[in-house]
Amino acid sequence: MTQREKPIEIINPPNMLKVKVGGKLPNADQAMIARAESALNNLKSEFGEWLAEEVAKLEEYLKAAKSQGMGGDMGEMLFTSAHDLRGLGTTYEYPIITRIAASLSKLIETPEQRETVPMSLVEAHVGAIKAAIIQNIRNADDPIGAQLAEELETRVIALVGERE
Amino acid sequence: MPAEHADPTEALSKLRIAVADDNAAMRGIVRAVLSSLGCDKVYEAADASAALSLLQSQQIDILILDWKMKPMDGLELVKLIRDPERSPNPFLPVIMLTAYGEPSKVREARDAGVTEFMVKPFNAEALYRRLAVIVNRPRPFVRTKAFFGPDRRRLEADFNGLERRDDAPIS
Repeated sequence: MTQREKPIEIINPPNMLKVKVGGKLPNADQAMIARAESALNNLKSEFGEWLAEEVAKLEEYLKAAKSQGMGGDMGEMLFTSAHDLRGLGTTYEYPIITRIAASLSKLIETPEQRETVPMSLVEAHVGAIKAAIIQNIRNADDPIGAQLAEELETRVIALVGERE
Repeated sequence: MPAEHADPTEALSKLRIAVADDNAAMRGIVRAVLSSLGCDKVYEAADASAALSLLQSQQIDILILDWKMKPMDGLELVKLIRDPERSPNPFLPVIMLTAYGEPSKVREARDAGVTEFMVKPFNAEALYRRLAVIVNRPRPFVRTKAFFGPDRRRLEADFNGLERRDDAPIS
């Protein structure tokens, strides 16, 4: 028996979505995409406030994790908060925050990592995120921002290694 | 039925799309982009169980799902959706929209039964492309002893790798 004869069932459900929308969707037209990007731009006035709220959450969880320990729920909440900032930073026009938050997420992703993480390195990440906002450092074009992000990433990789 | 829809926004207005993300701002951003693409029937869920309730009460066509949620995360929800015994629609197309960008996470999501994977931050064009692929070229589904979900080999037309479908535990 060949491997292909192993118990594999291939199912081709009828394409009801194509029927529902009335045919194949064409390639994106640039006018439509421009409208969508413009809708996103209309939210820009809110981004500063939303980012401040996310960073406030990050600081709150850091404070709680420092008093309760990184091993419990607060360590997990801190990771979740960093992970959210990783996803939102660039949207909120701070790619450097996405980068620093990605480094922090990598540092504290698992409970095992959180148990042994040097708190000073966690605090350095949170401090760098706050500094980016205060000093309006948005991306790695800023030499200080780039150097800071690189230094944090290097220290995290030295501790937890590269991730695939 | 015409071969190709002339007006994509009119076409997308017919779809019911659910967005499950525990971050309200991100849900708002996704909704704003979907609306501008023509999707005006957008349903929001702040966690996985709310998303499941939505799937049970509405005829949702596509789910856009965050991974990192509590108490049930997005990956667990996908596994539940792909379980024909427990799911309102095991064939539901699921776009995983997440801050995770590591290849290992993409593989993990694919192995759970995610249809499309998109990394935050996303843009409108990337989202439209995923919607178009789901509508135009839906993946066949595969059922083995260990997996039920979209065929994970769509992009590997001339697959020469290790046969993994026989990893199923035979009962």
